[in-house]
Amino acid sequence: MMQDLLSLIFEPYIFVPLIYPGLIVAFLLLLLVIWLERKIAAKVQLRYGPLYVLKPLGGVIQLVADLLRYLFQEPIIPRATDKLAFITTPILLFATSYLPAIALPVGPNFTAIRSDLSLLLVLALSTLGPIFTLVMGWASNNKFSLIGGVREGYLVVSYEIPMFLSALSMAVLYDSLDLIEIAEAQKGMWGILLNPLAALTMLILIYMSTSKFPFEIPEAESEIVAGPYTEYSGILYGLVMGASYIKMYVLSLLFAILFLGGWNPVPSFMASDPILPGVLVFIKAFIIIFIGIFFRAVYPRFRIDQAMNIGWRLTLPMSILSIILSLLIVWLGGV
Amino acid sequence: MTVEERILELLIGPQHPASGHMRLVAKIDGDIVVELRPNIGYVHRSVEKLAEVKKYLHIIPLVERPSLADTTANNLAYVMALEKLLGIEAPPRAQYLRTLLAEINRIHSHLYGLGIHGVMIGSSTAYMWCFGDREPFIEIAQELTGARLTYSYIIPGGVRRDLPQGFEDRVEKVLRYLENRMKDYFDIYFNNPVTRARLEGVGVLTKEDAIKLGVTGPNLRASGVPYDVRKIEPYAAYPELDFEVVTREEGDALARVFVRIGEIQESMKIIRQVLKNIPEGPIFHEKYVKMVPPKLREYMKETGEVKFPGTFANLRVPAGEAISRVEGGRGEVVFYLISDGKSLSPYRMRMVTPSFRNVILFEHLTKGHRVADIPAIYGSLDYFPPEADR
Amino acid sequence: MNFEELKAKIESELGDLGAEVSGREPNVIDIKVDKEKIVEAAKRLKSMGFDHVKAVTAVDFPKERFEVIYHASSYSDLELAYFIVNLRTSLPYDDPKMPTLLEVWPSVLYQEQEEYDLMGILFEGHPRMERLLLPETYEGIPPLRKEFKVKTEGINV
Repeated sequence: MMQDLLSLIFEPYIFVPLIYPGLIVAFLLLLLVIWLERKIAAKVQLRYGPLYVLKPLGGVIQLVADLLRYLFQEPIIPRATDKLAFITTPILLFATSYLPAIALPVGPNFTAIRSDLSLLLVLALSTLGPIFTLVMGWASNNKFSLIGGVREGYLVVSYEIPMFLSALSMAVLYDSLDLIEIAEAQKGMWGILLNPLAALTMLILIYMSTSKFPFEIPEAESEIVAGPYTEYSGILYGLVMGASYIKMYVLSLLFAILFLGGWNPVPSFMASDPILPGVLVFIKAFIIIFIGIFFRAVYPRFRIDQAMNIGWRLTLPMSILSIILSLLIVWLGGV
Repeated sequence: MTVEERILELLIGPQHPASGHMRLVAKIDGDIVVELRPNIGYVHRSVEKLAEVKKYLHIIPLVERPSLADTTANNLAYVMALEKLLGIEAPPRAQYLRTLLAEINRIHSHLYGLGIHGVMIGSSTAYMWCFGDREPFIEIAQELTGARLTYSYIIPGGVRRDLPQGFEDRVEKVLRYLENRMKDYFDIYFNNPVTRARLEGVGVLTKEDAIKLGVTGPNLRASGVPYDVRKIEPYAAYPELDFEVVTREEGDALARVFVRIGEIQESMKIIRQVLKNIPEGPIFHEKYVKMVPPKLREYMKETGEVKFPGTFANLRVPAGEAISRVEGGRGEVVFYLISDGKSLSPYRMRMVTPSFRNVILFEHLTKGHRVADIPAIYGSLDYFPPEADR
Repeated sequence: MNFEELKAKIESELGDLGAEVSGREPNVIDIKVDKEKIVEAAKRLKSMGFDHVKAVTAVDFPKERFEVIYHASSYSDLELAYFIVNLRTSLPYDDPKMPTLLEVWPSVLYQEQEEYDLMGILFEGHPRMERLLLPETYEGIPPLRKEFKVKTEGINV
């Protein structure tokens, strides 16, 4: 019985959406990352940060306490809102943020969806979230929310194209849209060394697309209160706040697979098992997340026009150059 | 669409994370501010009217309360006006002590302003650092005066307490600490490319406009006007001290930040000079010392704490009027006192604080800028709503 | 420029407006003019270099008059900056109206509005004769007037 259950859990189509990289690990990471973000910022700012919930471990389960509070807090729904959109968007936003994870491979032989176009699938699914942020800004019937939603819209058009171009430059380089093939091709040399330009572009745009500092523009507190999330409270707010971290997690996993060699170097006898390859990808992705949350303590926030300048004037040429670079490498003999 | 239909009216405050106790009524066209009107008065406490029912000495704490981060300036300006009416002058040692507290206060007031500005453009690190490093200065001020912010240290005819034992060394330690910290500030905040991008060329105040609008303090000096009351009409111990007036020519938000940093450095210079050159002697005017009973006079000598003479309870001030000005952290404080010589309260007290004179800048500087520039400009003015509302 | 020189200069500049010039050593000069002439007096002071107003004070002398005082000084001429010029005028008690000096000194914008708000003095031509510090709905005696009594609470409330 136990054996059956265990083998059922380790079936890819259950393991991937439910455990890793899906819901459970994402959720645990969410708790850990937000705690870490606050702790790092506190360290830089000469404070303690979260401390009292489980004191011996530095308040590591602070976020569990926060989550409980969010759960029991009354979610206030203002009268003038579009109720259906107001309530459903946080849920859809959270769900669509983590949806791309199901198309991500865990190991060379372990995927929920084996597709030749898994890179495209991940990128396409990752574009769904911002639509709900926009709807949220509209549904709240608040001027600050509206401005925040519009800001998100402006940012989306400026980061999406260069981000996809820089991701696709890796597809050009490895002559495949299959993430497993791309990762396997990096056995010898990681993608970041072959095409550092694409990696840099993608890294900047991951932080922009998840509105981390210095691109924390849609929810800029001192300007527009909390942007699209202004009217949200209780667990609905918890969901929208978590969504951007989940999106960052998914994109960091993608980054690890595209540029950091995926699960390489994993010994071949362990490759069919999801544990070790999964852990390796996770560690790499975690480093990317870590850099992103560390920036909070370093950078102030850009203005929207400056961020759009970075999107269109800096990263778009960079991503086009990275495609040319990939083509050059392929022309010179490939990998 | 007509122009009117395009314009969105945005009410920023009074319940907004970065508005302070005021409301900014912004009319925006897309992301561009067409017009911005400050709506002040949310924390008006009618200091001027209350002064007409309070006795002269009771007004000292009253005038301090509005500008909580910069209390010494109000305290000093009021007492200077009062002393002009009374026709007395504090002894030299008291003048030095007044200068000392004023400069300590200037440093922590500037750190307060820089910190708030930091969080307004999104740098929580600048905010926490400034507020943390403000603490040692509050501590030494507390050691000198007994209070953290509302010192009420300066009284007609002198100051309340003498220097504590070993004060110089502790001040030196604090000053050296801030000097070392300043390097970190430059590395992570002032020279941060994002900070530069947000502040450079934002909210430019030309020299002509600065003069025309009568703005004051670092905001004026950042536009290239070398006006500093400490030099123009020197008071307290400033005539005997050597310091520079910090000015910048650019007039943008970054220049205002750098003027404040420069002033912090000048203030540290002044504090060192004060502690080196402070003369020995009484800290309270001898006319009042004589009125203190002999037993308490002994106590005063021993502890260095001033006991008020009985006459202070019902201080009578000769008829007349006096105007005084003081360069506080945020700018020039002007007090205008009219006494009728009969009652125990001023006939009329006019208190004009730097923030009230700078409020005019909101509508002037934000026009044509983006919504995100509103907090960047607001913070750079070091504007404090309770101080403006009084 | 010393005190006496400046005083003499202001006297000669404003003499034909019927201004009474007096002063307090070392740096305060009082100028008294009629309210009809105040705009012209302010213009002349401004052309002398007194380019901004530090404060506008209105004083209430019950049943007698209001006095409005403009404390002007200079930023552009640092020698003049040492001096403060009090430009005063008296207004009748039952009809406290005077022309605004906003055209001459834009720095009085909020100061005049405050004196309207708290003292009830009407500055004609000022675009914002509306509430500033008091709530928009406030009606009654302007609070800085002497007839407005502050209710004080005893210690044993």
